[in-house]
Amino acid sequence: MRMIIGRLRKYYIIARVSFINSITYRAPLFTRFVFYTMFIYIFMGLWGAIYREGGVNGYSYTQMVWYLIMTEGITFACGSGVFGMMNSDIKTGSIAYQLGRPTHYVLYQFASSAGQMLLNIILFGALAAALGLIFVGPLPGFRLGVIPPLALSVTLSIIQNYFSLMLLGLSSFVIEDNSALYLIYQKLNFMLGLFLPMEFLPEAIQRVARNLPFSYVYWAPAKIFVGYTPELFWQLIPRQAMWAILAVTLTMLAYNFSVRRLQVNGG
Amino acid sequence: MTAINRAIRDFRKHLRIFACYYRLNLASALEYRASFFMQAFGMALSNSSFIFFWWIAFGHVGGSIAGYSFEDVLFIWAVGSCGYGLFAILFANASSLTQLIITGELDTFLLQPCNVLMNLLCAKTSLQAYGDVLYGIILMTLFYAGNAAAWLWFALGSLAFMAIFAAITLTSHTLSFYWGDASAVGSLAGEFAMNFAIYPEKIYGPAVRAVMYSLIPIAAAVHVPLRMFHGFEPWTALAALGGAIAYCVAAGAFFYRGLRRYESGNAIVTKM
Repeated sequence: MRMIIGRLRKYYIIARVSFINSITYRAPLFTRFVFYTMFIYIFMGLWGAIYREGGVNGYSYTQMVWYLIMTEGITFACGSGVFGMMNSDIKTGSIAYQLGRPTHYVLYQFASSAGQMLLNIILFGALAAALGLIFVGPLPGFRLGVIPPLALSVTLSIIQNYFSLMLLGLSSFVIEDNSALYLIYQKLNFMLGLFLPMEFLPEAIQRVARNLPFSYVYWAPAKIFVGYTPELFWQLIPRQAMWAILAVTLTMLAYNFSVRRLQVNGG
Repeated sequence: MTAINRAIRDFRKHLRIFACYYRLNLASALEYRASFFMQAFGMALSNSSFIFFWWIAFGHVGGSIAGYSFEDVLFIWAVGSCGYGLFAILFANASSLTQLIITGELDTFLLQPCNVLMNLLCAKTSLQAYGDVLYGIILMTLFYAGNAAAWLWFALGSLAFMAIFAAITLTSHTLSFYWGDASAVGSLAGEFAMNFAIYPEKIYGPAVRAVMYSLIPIAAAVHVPLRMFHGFEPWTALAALGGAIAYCVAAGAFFYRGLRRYESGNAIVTKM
């Protein structure tokens, strides 16, 4: 047990260093704040126009704006450049330097991003709350008791998304240009949850989407946020956990398989 | 007469250089053919996701959203996508201006016997941008195939979009001559321009709409052509064209004014 704690401690230290680094170099966050506010403003105007024309399945306008604040918040706070970074590490061969470290490459990357994501969640969370309250007022029916299940859902969403992106990044071991895979993954997430709640999709697409991992990145936590019920929690969290575990497992397997094929040339 | 002849000769020379840049950029893109087609295909697919969004939205409300029908939205998307694609194929280097100023790599462009601005703007291309152009053309083919007027305004709008977007990018990055690193302003200006272009203009408040027609005048390239397609108004078209030309000329003048403040770096760079 002590050995496991000892092993995990180094990843905690990596995450802490990354957190402190993010506080020190916080200037880029300002640009992201402006982008985030801009997107919320645009979508608020867009959904305002849509709601003026007619009602939409089961979401009030206020719920819809809060839904978008949540999904975009996850994108901005928890988005990481892990796909691009892994691509670059593998293609340039700089992964060889990282393999020499006394850490697991995949866990090192995750710990390193986790510190940054934690700071982002705190700051974007505050901005998101302020924007929502200013633009549409409080979310109807929201109570503080929703925060723990929401935090669990967001954590699972982050893990699923992060390791899925790593898995895509690892594909550069076998595919010369994997940018199209990234675009496809990103847009499936957009279509099946980020821009649109799943309930808005046609019945046939909903049936397929419920059995795919993409909706569980954005739709599941945002749905828990705007319409929490214990039934919803038990309906979504086990599925989120399943997809998150699958993403982690596949990433580890793909990493172990790929690293054996690694050839590094030059000095 | 000699001055006119010299100007014509100069224009031809730069046209040849422009064509040469395009040929070389395309040849270098095609060198990695698989990558080129994957990126172009990925971008076209990526754009399609937004049409999916609109399809769902119109499926719920029918009719129009903020005064735009589904076909109108596809039109502005086609112009925006094709215009941006043309910008990124021909003038992608405008987005690198801040980097060139900060690192001192601008020196290489200043030393060559060619118009600095043109030489700078055309030096880079984007592979994904071919997917954007293709996507715009596919949308028009699918929804406006036999409509000559739509194609005319699409072509004019795309060219205007390319020029105005280049001018916006150039202007925002030119601020680096004055402020130091203005890359954040450059990214913001680009994002604002793109988002003003691809959504119905009436979803924005009056203040934002004023910006869309003045400081970041991308509306002149997208929303005005759509209006002209529905009902031609010569004075509006003329005002938009005049405004776009004036904006591009002002962007060029602003760049050359900023260039006077440029302090050469000591980086040793080769430009093949």
